[in-house]
Amino acid sequence: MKIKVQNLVKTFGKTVAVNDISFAFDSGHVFGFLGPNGAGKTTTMRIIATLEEATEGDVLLNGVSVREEPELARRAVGYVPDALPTHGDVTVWEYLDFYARAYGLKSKQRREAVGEIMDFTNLHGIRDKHLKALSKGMKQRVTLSRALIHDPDVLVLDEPAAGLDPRARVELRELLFALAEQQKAILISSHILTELTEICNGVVIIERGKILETGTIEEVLSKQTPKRAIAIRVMEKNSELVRELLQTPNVEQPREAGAEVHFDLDGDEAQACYLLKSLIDKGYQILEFKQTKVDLEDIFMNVTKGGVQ
Amino acid sequence: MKFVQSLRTHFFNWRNWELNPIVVKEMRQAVRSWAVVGAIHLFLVALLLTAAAMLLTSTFSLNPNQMLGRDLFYAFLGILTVGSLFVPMYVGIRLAAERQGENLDLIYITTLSPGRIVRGKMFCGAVISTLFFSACLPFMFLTTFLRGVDLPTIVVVMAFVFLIVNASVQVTIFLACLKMSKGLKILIALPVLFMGLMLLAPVTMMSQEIVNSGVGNLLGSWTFWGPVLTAIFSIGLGLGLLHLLSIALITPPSANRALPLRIYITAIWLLDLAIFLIWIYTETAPEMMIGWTISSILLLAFTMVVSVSERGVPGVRVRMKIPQNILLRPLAFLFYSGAAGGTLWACLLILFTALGNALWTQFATRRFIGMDSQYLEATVRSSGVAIYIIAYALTGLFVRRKFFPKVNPIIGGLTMLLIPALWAIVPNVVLFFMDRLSQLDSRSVQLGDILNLLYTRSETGRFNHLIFATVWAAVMFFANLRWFLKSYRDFQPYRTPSEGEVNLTEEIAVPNPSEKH
Repeated sequence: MKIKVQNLVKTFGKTVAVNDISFAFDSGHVFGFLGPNGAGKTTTMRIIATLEEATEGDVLLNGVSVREEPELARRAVGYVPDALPTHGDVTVWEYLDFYARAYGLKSKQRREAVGEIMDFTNLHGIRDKHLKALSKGMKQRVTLSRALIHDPDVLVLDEPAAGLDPRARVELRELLFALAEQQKAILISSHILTELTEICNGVVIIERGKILETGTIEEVLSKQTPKRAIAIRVMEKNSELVRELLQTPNVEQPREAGAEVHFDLDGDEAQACYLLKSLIDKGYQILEFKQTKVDLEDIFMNVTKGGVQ
Repeated sequence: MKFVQSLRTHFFNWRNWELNPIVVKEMRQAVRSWAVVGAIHLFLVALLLTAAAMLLTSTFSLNPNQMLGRDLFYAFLGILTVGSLFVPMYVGIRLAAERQGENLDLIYITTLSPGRIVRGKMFCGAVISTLFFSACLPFMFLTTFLRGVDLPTIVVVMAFVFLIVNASVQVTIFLACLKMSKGLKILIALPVLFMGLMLLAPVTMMSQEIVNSGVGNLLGSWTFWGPVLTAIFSIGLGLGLLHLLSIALITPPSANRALPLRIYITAIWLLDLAIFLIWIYTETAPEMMIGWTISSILLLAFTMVVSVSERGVPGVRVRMKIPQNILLRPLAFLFYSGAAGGTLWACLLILFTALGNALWTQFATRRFIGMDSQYLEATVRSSGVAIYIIAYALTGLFVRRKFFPKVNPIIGGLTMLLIPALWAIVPNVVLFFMDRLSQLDSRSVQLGDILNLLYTRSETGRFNHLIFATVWAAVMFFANLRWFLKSYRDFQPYRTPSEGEVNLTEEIAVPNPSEKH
C-alpha cells in the first residue's frame, strides 16, 4: 500500500487551510504529521479519510483516488479523529458491531472481527459499558478499534495521545508498534514530539498549510543538523578546553554549558574519534565525551515559526 | 440480464440477508433514548387522560350519547396526529446533527451506500411511528364499542395518517441531508414545520369525511377512489423524488449522481401526463392539461436550478461510465452528471411541455366546443413562463462560465434565481422612491419579469412577453452554444493514461473488508 498526497489544496472561503502539499510513504511505515495548531493537519487527515473533499489535488491510496473513488478508498482507510465518541446510549460492543456491519462484515465474520479487535485492544472487560462512561484512554482504544474493524491498510490518527495519562500513552504506543509490524501505513499527528521520535520512521512538518520539511527521520535530522553536536566533561577547567577547541579545525562555537563544554563538529564519526584522541594526547583528563542527540522537538522548533492561519 | 442474475442470486441467498446496519443502530439507540421513551409515555398519558375525561363526563347522562365512540375517536385521532409529528422531527434532527459541517458522523465514511443510509433512516421512522400507532390502537378499538364509528373506518383512517407521517419522515430526511449551515436549516425547517401543522387541518377533515360517510359507502365509488388514488400516486412520486434527492445529496460529488434523478424525473413527467390524460378522458375536461403543464414546469424549473449549478467538467468516475457506442453517447450526455448535458436535458423537457400544451390547446379548441377562454390565456402564460425559465437558466450558466469560472458552480443557480427576483423588486423600489409606483397598473408590461407575465391583463403584453422571452432565450443559447458543443466533444469515455500517470481503470488492489476477514 502506497499513500501519495499530490498537490493537495483545501480552501474554506478565502482561508487556504492546505496549500499545495505533497508527500508519500509506503506500508509498514509510521509517518508523523507535525505542525502548530491551525497548520492544516486535521484538514489533510480528513481529506485522506474522505470526510472532506479537496479543492484541488488528490490523495491516492495504491492508485485509488479519494476524490474520484471515495467509496473504494474508504475500504483502505481507518480514521481516528481527535474527538472521541460520547454516545450515552451505545455500549462498546454495540459500537464496534455497528461499524463492522457498516463495513459489510456478515454474521460469523463480524463476530470474529469484533472479538479479535477487542482482544487486540484489550476491551473485553468493558464490553457492555456505555461509551460515555469510559475514561479518555479507553475511549481512545474504542476509537482505534473502530478504525481497525475492517482491517484497513492505512491508518490515520489525529492527535491520538492528546489528554491521555502516561500509562495510556505507553499502551497506545505499543499498539501502534504492533500495527506497524502488521505492515499498515500509519499517519499520526501529535504534539508529543518525543513520542513520535520513538514511533515514527518519517515525518511531515507543516505550517500555514505548507510543508516545511518531509522525509525519513534520519533524512530530516541530517538535513537540519549537518553538524554533530558534541559535549565534553573534563577534570580541569573548562575555559582551557574552550580555548583549545577554538584553535582546532572543523570545530565551531565551543562554549561552556554548566559542567560541560559544548561545540559543533563539522565531520563524521572518525573525525570525532580523532578529536577525542588528540585531546587525550594533549593531556586533557576527559570524563565524558558524547554526541548530543538532536530530536524532532529541536527540529520542529527550528523549522516552524509558530504561525497560525 | 446481469440485473436479473444478481437479483436471483440475492433471493437465493436469503439466509444471508441482514438488517440494514442503520436500522440496527437507530433502534438500539431509540429504545434507550429519553426522547423516544418520554414521547411515548407522554402520548399514552394524553390518551389515557382524554379517555378518562370523556368517559367520566358522559357516563352519568340519562340519554346515552350515540356518538360517544366517534367523539372519542376524533379526540384520539387528534392526539395521534399531533403526537406522530415527533417521529419526523426525531429522525430529521438526528440526521441533521450527524451531517452537520465539521461533525460529520463517521458512518458516512464507511462502505455503507448512501441509499442504504437513507432507507435505514426511513425504516427507522416507520418503526417508531408503528410504535406510536400500536400504542394508540387499543384506544381506537375501544371507540367501536361506544357507537358512532366502525372498525374498517378506524383501520382506513389510521392507515391514511400512517402514510402521511411516513411521508413527513421522508421530507425531514431530505431537509436534513441539505448541505447548509445549522441556522439556514432551522430557517427552512420552521416554515416546513408550520406547513406540516397546517396540513393537520385537511388531514383531520379528510378523516372526518371518511368517518361520516362510512368506509363501506366510499369504497365502492370512483368519486372516492379516483382522487384518492391520484393523490396517493402523486404524493408517492413526489416522495420518490425526495428519496432520490436525499441519496444524491449524501453521495460524493464525483459520482454520477444525476443519472437516477434525471431518469426518474423523465419517468414521472411522462407518468404525470398519463394520469392527466386519464382524467381528461374520464371527466371530458381538456382544460385539465394545464395542471400537467404547470406541475411539470415547476418541477423542471427546480431541476434547472440544480443542473445549472452542477460541475462543468465531468470527473474521471463519470467518464469511466460513458458508453463507447456513438448512438448512446448523446443520450448519456443528457442524463449523466454535468452542467451542459443537464441544462440541455431540462431545457428540452420544458420546451416539450410548453409545446405539448400548445398543441393540445390547438387540438382541443377544434375537438371540444366551448373551450374555456381562461385556458387559452393560461396556455400563453405557461408557455411564456417556460421560456423565461430557460432564458434565466442560460443566463445563469453564461454568467457563471464567463465571470466566475473558478467560483463554486452554485453561483450559476443563484444567478438564475436572482435575475427574476431582482428584476421584479428593483424597478418597483425605484418607482416607489420616484413616487411613480401608483402609475403602474395591472396592464403595465415589464418585459423580462416573469411575475409581470403572470398578473398582466393585457393580451398584447402577454404576447410581447412571449416574444421577448423567446429572443432572450435564443440569444443566451447562442452565447452558450460553443461551450455546449465543446462540452459534448469532451464527453468522451475515459482512456487509460500513459505511463507515469495514475490509472484508475486498472484493477484496484483494495480488498473488500468482508473478503479480508
